[in-house]
Amino acid sequence: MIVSAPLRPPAPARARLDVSTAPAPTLAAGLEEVCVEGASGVAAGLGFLVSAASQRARGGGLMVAAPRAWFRERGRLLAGGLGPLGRSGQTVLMIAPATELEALWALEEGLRSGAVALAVGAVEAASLLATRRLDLAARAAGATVVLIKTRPARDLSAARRRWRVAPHPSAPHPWDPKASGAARWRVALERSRDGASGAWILEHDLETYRLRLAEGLADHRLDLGEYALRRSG
Amino acid sequence: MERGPRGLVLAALNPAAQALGLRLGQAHADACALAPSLKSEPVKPGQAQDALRRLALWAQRYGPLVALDEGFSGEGGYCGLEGLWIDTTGADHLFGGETALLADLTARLARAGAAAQVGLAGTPGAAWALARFAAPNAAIAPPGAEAGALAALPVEALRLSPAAVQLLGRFGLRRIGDLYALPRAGLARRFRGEAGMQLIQRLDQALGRLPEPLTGETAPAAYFAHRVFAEPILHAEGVAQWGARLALELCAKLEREGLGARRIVLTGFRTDGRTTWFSAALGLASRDPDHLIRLLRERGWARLEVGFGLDALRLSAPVTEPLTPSQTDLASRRNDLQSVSDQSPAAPPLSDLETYRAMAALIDRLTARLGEAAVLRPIWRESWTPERAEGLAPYASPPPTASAVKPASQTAAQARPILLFNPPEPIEAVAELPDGAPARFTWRRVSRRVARASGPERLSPEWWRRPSAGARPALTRDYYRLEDEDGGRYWVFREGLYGAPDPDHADRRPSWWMHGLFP
Repeated sequence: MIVSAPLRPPAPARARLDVSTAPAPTLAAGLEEVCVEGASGVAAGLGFLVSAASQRARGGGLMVAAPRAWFRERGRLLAGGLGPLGRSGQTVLMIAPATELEALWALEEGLRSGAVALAVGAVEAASLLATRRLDLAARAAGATVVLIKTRPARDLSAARRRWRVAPHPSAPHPWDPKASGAARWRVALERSRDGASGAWILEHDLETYRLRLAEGLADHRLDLGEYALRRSG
Repeated sequence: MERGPRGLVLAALNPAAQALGLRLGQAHADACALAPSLKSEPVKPGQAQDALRRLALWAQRYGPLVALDEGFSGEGGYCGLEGLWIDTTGADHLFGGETALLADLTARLARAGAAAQVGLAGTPGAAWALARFAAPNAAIAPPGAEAGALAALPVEALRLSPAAVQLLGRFGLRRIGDLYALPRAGLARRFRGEAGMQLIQRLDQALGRLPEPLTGETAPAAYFAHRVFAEPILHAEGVAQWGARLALELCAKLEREGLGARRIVLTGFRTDGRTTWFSAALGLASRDPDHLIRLLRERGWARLEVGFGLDALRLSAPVTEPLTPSQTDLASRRNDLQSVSDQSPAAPPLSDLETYRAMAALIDRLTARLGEAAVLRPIWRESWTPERAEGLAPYASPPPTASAVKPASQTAAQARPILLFNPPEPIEAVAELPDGAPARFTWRRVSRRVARASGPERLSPEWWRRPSAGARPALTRDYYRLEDEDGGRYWVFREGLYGAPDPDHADRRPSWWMHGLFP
């Protein structure tokens, strides 16, 4: 009898949350992986990768490819929700094929066409060959492709970096202590081929559409207050 | 057999039945008396027409315009005289002349098991007559010689009603040539009424004095590339190879005319007299052969059902648009991705126009491979119901009522989630106050305690919209932004109000729904 034991997921990053003071990370050209857990984790992962995408990836089209069933279960992408992340004018292309293989094919086609600057795929089972192809296509086009995974990966992956993203309780809204403030994420760089790993608590800045360190050197409540003043005024 | 006014009659005969002396229109009972071993089956309505239509598509290999002639079925009509008109104008030299074309047509039809007679003339009427009543060696009338070619044929060859033929017979006019000598005015007067008018009209049509337009079964494509094969193609690889060459030819033709294709159709003509085809649509007019070939490949060469082989292949562009060559930038560059290796620096970014074109080409390819329903884009409507305000529609066929640009009324709207559940999912929520934000809710069997909440954002139902059939009428929604203790951010709403129930829906209790997730 053959017992197939799944690989144990790596220990969650929150265990070693010695918060880094390095500058907030950005996504580079090539293949990146974002591991998330749960429904709100998927939303947090999407928010992180859209805000952390490079300046260049903000200019071209945004493609989201996932099997139809994924959109049914996780919810469909709302372009109106990209506005607060600084992407209101972007061309959005949603690919909802029947299978993951077709989604992978669509991602690669999109990258090779040159029209897609940021491609997001919700593909759980991508082979080493498929990820290698995606990586090459993305680097050739100077685009970023991100695979969102909700299960621990069993296959090897050609991704340059692997992130783990989870939502983090936000600071209270300065004008309404009961309401939540700017979105915060707990981001851990678990694997990196060309750099040190690290863990951050990042906050999305609604004015500059950039990520900044939420904790560490300083707490940003003062900035939030300014933000709220300007927004209400 | 079919049901006639006086019982069952014979509607079609095979050669064996004809050899027994049976004829069309004969009563079934009489036929059974003549041939007790007669085996008969009821006519399936439309079957003959369908077969004829298939044959018409196949016959497009001989000319761009093929019209159906369904014959005069009905009371005493020319049953079994259905046929096709093929406009071979300018196409006969491709087959080595008119005689060779007819020989080829007859041979191919015979091989496919369709017994056919052919005739060729300058007018549809004369061709009709020659095909049905002339000897096979005299089936071609040169232009302008229709009168001589038709003179010896019986008057039935003019497509007259049986009553008119009977009337002519009473006057001893049995040949078409007999009519030439008679004064037209007298002929028209004598055959006054319906029969007479038809006689003069048919005679003039056959001789080319009156125009007779043909309506093709399919609109002829102005631009196509066509190839006939000596040996039939038997597998998809052959189709792919020849399809690519046809795409090159078609693009060359389009380039000469300054046009780009919006739709391309690949048609295969099978040896058994049938056609098989598939098409691909383009979002932006193009005459780039690589793009067309890639589109056809994504659709799948195997969509052509080769059967026993294709002996001709045609790539046509039924829908075209003007496409003028345009220079995109000073140093136009081809982005050849195949040659970029891992170590080479990334390609420079495309210009706006190039990006636009690349996006259109990408959408064509994705749509061709995955189907229209899988390639979607957000569309906006002037509405404040969230799931209606921003919808999803196929890129290839956007709905006419929606806009691809976000309306100004929504750009300043309240914060919207990044993931939306449509339809919303029911949750169980406990609120401190009946009309307040929930303090705790259970969604997907997980109970969550709310740490922060803001709202409500109250959205009334749009009373001017009629609810779709079967759907519950909408009630007022109060939307809340919630954050649980782990930091997950949710968008929930309560449908219906406490305290002041809608008089129309007093029986509906307020209910809680999960509608989206914030990043």
